[in-house]
Amino acid sequence: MISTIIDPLGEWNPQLLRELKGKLNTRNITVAWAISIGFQLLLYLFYESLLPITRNTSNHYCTGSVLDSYSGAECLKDALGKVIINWQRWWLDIFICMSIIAIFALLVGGTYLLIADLSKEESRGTLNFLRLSPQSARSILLGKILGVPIILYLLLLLGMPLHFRAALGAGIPLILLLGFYTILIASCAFFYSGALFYGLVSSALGGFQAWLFSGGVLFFLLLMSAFTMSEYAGTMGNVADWLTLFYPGKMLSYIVNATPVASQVDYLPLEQVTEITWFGMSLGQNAILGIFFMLLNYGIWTYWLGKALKRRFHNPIATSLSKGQSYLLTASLMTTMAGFSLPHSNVSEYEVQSNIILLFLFQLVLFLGLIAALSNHRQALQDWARSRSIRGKQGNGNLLKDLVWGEKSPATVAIGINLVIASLLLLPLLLLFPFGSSTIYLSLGVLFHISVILIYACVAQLILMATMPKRTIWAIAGVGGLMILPLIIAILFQINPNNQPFLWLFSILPIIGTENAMGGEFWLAFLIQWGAIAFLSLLMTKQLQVFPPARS
Amino acid sequence: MGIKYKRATFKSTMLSIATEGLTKQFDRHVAVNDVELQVEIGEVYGLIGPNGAGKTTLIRMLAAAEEPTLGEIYIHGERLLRDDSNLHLKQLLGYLPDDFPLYEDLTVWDYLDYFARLYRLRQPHRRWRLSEILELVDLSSKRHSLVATLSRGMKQRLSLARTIIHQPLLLFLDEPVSGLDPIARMKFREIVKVLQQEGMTILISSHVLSDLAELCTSVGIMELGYLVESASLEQLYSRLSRQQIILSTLGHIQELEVELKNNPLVEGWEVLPPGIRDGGGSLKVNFSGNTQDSAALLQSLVAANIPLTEFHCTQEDLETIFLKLEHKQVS
Repeated sequence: MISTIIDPLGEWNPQLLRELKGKLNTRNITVAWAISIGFQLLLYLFYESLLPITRNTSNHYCTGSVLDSYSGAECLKDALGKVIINWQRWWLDIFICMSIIAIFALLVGGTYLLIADLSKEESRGTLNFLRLSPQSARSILLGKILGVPIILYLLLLLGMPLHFRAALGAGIPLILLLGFYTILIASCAFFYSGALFYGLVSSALGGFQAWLFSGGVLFFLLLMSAFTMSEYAGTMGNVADWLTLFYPGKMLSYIVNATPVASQVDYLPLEQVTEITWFGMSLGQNAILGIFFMLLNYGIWTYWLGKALKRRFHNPIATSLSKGQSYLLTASLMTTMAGFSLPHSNVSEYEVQSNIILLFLFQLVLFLGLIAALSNHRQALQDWARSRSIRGKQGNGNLLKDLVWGEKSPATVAIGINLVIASLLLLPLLLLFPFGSSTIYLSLGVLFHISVILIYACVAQLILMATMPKRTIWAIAGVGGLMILPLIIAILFQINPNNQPFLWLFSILPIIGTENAMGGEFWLAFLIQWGAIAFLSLLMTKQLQVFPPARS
Repeated sequence: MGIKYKRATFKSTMLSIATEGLTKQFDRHVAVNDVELQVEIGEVYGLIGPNGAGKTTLIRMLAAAEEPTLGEIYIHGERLLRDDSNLHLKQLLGYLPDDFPLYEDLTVWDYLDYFARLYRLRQPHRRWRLSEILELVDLSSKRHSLVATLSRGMKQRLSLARTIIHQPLLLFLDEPVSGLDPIARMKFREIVKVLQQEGMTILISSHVLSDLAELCTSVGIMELGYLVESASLEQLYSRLSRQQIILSTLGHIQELEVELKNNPLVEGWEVLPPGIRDGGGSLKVNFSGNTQDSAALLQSLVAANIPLTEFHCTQEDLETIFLKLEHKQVS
């Protein structure tokens, strides 16, 4: 019977049908049904046990005046002596609890299942057949996203009637309920695309990769739910606010606020969504606008993940992004992050500076990602060097064009261009806004940031070019070592950035050093760093020249 | 590679596969070296070569499973690239690797149905094609069995069925008969012959040269990454295979040898071990003449009263030719 229902789906997406046929058997469906119904029953009974009984004088679900956040409200009784229950509040609690459980189940469980499935296909060798078929990457991967976690979807779908009943009972507007479901779907699209991308690039990790990624998602969700559920949750007024937009549960603040019992609820405060600003614009003034921006945020980054997925699916040795794509990605990421870092007018200079330092830290993470996404491995670089030698003989070898746009060329020039793009977006921010005396040292920090990241990029590319096995791990270790070394030296010798800022100019955040460094120290550090970049580039050029020439 | 280094200069209309300067280099090891392969439509092209000659790498590049270091591949005149820019070209190709991984959790029918859908076969054609293909590979009785329960030979035939489900114009078979028993091999050969009759162009690599000799219309020989020979089987035999005549006599073998010495077209002979042939003795004669010359030789032997019991013209087989060529390569 199942196959007659799902068969037409196969005409639309063969991969989806394959996943459904493999997973939708009577045993799995029965188990999903039993778990879902059993869990809902337990949840209902648990919340029922929290309801006040006749002898209670106060309870969270009573209707009298609120005593305190611990005791709840005073219990009022009707003419028959029965406690009047605040059913709307009770249903709201059930709704929020179910929503958060759904978020965790979908994002942690779904990402785990997808990566484990992809890793199995890769190790078995069947993924290559899918690559060679005339189906697009989009169709295959969409089939995987919709089909692999199907039992999980089924489990949650079986919980929808109770979720809907809870929404009705709590007086949640239908449009907000639909908005929540839309955001949940968008978050799945984003996290699942991320999981598939991670699955494609990290196949070397084997069975461990699924645990690592879904563990990371679990950590993120735990952090975010602890943060948003708090009574005192608000905004941070810096780039960290952007990260919270990736947590679908943030939207629940609008839902709580839209219910008649909003004033009695001490979790999910509305301020945490209404106060988020981007270049001074409020993104979450009302629910529709807030939902729109959350969807936009998911949409933009899912789009970029889709681009990388398409490249890596068809060609596993290709870089995750083309150089052209990386320039656009840097521009869009930096604009997004800078917008969230823009200081409010009423904050102190110290907060402004810490905003900028945090932005530099985010920028560093972005560039470490870009180095990983753009750096070619030895094989591709060899192919590039050989094809260049042949094109050179034909008078058809524009080196600069190759380094800026080429598919297989070394990544360092492209990383340099990305750094310039990022800095060009940052500098107006530093110059236009009232940083006072800090403007100069922050601008110098931008320059040192460029040279430090370029050194990381050169080291990573050089290691990836070497003959040693497990080059990726060595490249991570090499760059990681360079990042940690100045910090270790600083800790060992107790080098304070205020007294001895020179060493800090070589750290992951040179901006810490620029505040107190003197002119001579700047020049010396600058010379050392650019000398190192020149030396590493020279080594790279030599290495490319010693690749054995093509024999044709 | 994205960039065309050379202009395609060949006439592609009759060619199923054409490569230009196809090279694959892994570090210092050149797996495939500047290969200019041309395979005409409808041919069965056999790729011979010792282990590590680059056959699998060449086939993987032709099937878009591997990216060339240098060079270009044209399938039916169209450039093959390893991205999603030519999904219709992928529809034309069928590739059976030597390890043929399968989905063991599906039934035979569901497995083929899945791939038929991936290759955009619609109903009712799909159902008809699945039945036809199961008939061809002799797995109709196993249609509801789980893939995991099939024998190696059956799995191999199922993989072939998966490869040809969409009726590709060009089929790549990498060592398809290795590890199969003689009956499974014979079955496989028969299937390939049917596919050839259907008009598919087939490129097949194998160590079993007798299989190739029976199936192929052309042969390419790979050695250390080079395609050292590429010709039709007919040309190869006429060029490199010597005619040989097996002679058996009831009389003394020395009398026969005396007569053979008188014929200038006889280049030499080898006495076959006794017991293999009945009677006095047998010789394998290397003969450089044509059919008329061999008739004249027979006439002269009969005239000399040699009691012949056998006069059988034959040719050196593919294996001997291959060994000869290998010798050339080494020298």
